[in-house]
Amino acid sequence: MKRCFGAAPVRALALLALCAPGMVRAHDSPEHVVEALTARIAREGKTAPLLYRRAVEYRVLGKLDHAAADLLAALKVDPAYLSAHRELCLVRLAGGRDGEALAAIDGAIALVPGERERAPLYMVRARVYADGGRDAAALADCERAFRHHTGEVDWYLTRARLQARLGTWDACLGGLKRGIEQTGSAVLEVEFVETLIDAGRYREALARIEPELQDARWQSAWRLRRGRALLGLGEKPRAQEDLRAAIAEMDPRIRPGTPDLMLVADRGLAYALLGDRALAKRDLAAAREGGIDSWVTHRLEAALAILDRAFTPPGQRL
Amino acid sequence: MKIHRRTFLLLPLLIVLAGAGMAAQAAPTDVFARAPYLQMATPDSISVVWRTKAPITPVVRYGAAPDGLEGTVSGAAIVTRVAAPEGAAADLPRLHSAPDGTYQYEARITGLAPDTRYHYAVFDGDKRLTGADGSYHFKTNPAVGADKPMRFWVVGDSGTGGAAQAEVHSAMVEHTAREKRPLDFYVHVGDMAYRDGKDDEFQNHFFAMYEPTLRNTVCWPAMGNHEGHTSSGVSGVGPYYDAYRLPTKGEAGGVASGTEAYYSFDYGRVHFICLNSHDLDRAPTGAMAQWLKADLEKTKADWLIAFFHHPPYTKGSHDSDKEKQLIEMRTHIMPILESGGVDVVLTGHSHIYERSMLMDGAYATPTVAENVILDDGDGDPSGDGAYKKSTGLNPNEGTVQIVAGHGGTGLRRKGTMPVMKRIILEHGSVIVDVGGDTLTAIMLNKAGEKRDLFRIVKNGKVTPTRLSSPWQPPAYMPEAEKADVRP
Repeated sequence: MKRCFGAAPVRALALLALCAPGMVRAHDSPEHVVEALTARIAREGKTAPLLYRRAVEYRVLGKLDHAAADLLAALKVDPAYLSAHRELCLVRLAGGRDGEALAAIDGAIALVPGERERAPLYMVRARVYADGGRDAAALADCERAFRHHTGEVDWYLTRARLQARLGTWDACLGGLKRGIEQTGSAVLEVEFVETLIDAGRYREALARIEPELQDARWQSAWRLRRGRALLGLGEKPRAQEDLRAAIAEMDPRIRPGTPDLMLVADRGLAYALLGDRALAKRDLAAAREGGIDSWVTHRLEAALAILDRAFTPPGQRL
Repeated sequence: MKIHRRTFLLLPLLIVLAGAGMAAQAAPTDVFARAPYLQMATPDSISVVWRTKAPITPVVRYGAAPDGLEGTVSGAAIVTRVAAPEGAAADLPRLHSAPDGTYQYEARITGLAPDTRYHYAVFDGDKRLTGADGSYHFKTNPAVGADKPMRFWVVGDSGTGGAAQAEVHSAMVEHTAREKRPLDFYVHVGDMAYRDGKDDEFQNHFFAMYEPTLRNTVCWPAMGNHEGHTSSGVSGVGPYYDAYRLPTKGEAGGVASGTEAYYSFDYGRVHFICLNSHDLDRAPTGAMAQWLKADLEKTKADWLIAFFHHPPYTKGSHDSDKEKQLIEMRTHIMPILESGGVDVVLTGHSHIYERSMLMDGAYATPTVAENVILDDGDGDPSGDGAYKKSTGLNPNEGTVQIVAGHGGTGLRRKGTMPVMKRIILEHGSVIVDVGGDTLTAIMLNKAGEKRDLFRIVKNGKVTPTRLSSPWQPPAYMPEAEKADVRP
C-alpha cells in the first residue's frame, strides 16, 4: 500500500518543460501525440525533448515501461536534461521502484545549483523517502525545502504528516499554525485539530471543534473528532453519543458497492472507538480493498490495535 | 463534407457579423493592453481588472446610474502589478510574462448592496478611459441563500481565437438578447488560451474574443492542460494566475482553500466548486480532495455544481477509460462529490459535447452503464420528462455530467461513452438556468440552435433506483460522423 505524500511538487517542476510549441495540435489525445512524436522521431532522430515529451504522454496512458525507456534514452542523449530526471523519478515512483526513483531525483538535484531552486526537488525526494518508509530522511528534506521557500498547502500537509508519524507534536503544530497563517487553508486547520487530539491536547481541540460543528451541514467528521477528544478526556457517554450520531449520518452517504472510501474509513474509526471490532475491521478491509492510502486509515488501525490488545488475554500480549 | 465547406466559405462573413453584433457597445480606448473585466463577485463586492501599456493614475468610479458614478476606488486600494525589467518598479509585484511596460490594475469595490446593478468607469486620474455608453456595468451576487433565478454560460476548449470560437460567443449573445435574459456569470472549464496559455494567447484568444461579455460578466475559470504549459497550480504562478483573481480564503463562499488553484463560491442557493484536475495531487489524501471534503461539509446550498477540466466520462477526443487524470477524477474525486450531493459536473478537455443520463457511482474502469444509471430518459420536460431528485442536497441521488469541450477548437470523437444520453459533434456552449426547484440546461450550437435540453427538478423525497439494463447510446460510426461535422 502506498503511503501518502503529495505528488504536487513533482508536477510543479515539470511545468515549463511540458511546453513544446508546435509539436502537436491542440485537439490531439495522448495516443495521437505519441503517434505524431513517433513519426517525428523517425524523421528527425532521437532528441531528448522529443523523447521526453513522448514519455510524458506514455505516463498519462499508464505505459510506465515505455515512458521509462524514453526517459532513459533522453538522458543518454542529454545527461543534463533536468526535466527527464524529474519525470523519470515520477515514473519510477508510480511503478513502485523507489530505489530508481531516488536515483533519478538525486540526479535532478545535482543539476540545480541553488538551494532555493532545489526546494521543490527536495519535496519530491521527501515523497520518495516517505514511500520507502524513511520518514526522518523525508522530514529532513521537507525542512530543507522550507528553509528557502514559504511553502504551499501540500508542502505544509506533507511535513505535518511526517512529523505526526514521528510524534514530534510541537513541531507539527507549530508548522501547521504557520501554514494556516500563511495560506488560511481549511485543510491545514483540520489537520491542526486532528494533531491536537493525537497529541493529547483535547481541550484545545474541543475549543476549535465546537464552532466548526455549529457551522457544518455534514457533521460526521467533526463529531468523530469531538468523540475522540471526549474519549481522551474520559467523557465516554458524550463521546459515544457523538460517534453514534456520526455513524447515523454516514450510513446513508456510503453507497454499497462503490462507496466514498474516506467515509468508510471514518465510519470504521467510529466503530472502533465504540468498541465494535467486527464492524471496524469490516470497514478497514473495505477501505483497503478500495486502495485507500494508509494515511486515511492509520487512526483506525491504531484504534483497532488497542482494541485487539484489550481483547487479548494478558498472558498472550506482546 | 457539405457543412465543412459551407462554413469555411462563410467564415469571413460570420466574423464580420459577429463583430457587428457587438459593435453597438463602445470599444475600449487603445490605452488598454487588456480592457477592463470583472472578477470575484460576491454579494457585497467585486473586482475590476485591466491592463495598460504604461503607468496611469488608476481610479474606478461606480454608482447606480451611468451618470451617477458616486463611489470611487483609487490609490493604495488598487493593487498594481507590473512587467518590467529587473530593477525597474522594484516595489511592485510582478506579472509573470506580460510584455515589459505592462501595468495590471486590480480594483476591489466593497460595501455594495446584494443583487444590485452598478455602472462603473475606469479613469486615469480625471481622464475617463472607458466609454460612457452604459455598457460598463455589473451586478452583485444575491445574498447567500436567496432564492433568485440565475443564468450562467459554460464554455470549454475555446481558446483558438478562430471563427468557431467567435460564432459560439455570438450565438450566446444573440440567444440571451432574444430571450432578454442576460448572463449572471460565465464558467470556463479550461483551455481558454491555446496553445500554451501564454500571456499573449490569453489576450488574443480569450480577453479580446470575449471583451464585450467580460466587461460586465464575471468569468470563473478552471485551469486546462494548455494553460498548464505555462502556469503552475502548485505555485499559483503563470499567465493564468495573472489573469484571474480567485478566492483563497473563502471570500466568495465555501471554505478557504489557501490557493487560487481550487476554490468555491456561492450564488444564491447554488454552491459552485472549481477543482484543478491538471497538475495537483488528485488522491483522496491530497490537499485538494481534503479541501473538497471540508467544503462539502459546510455548504448549506440547495444546488451543487462542480467544474474542472478533465472529464471523468468521455469518448470524445480523449478517452476517460485510458488517461490518468480522467481516471483519477472519476475514481478519487467523483465519490466525494456524489456522496456530497453534487447535481451537475461541468468539464471540457475532450472536444465534443457529451451529456449523461442521471447517474451515480460509476467509478469502474472501463465505465459501464449497468447499475449506475438512475434515470435513462432524456431529462427533457417535453420528452421523457425532467430528472427528479429530492429537495436540497442529498447524497447519491444522481449527477448529470456535461462535457463542454466544444467551444472553438477542432472536434473529434473516438467512441461511445455508455452513460451518455447526448453525444454531439458540433461547436457550441451550454447555458444553465437555475430557479427555485428547477435547473435547466441547453446546448446551443454555434448557429444558435438548441441541440439539447435537460432539466432537473428537486422536489419532495425521491428514492433513486438503479437500472440494471439502462438505455444505451448507439454504437459509434466513425467515418459518417467525422465526415459530416468536423471543422
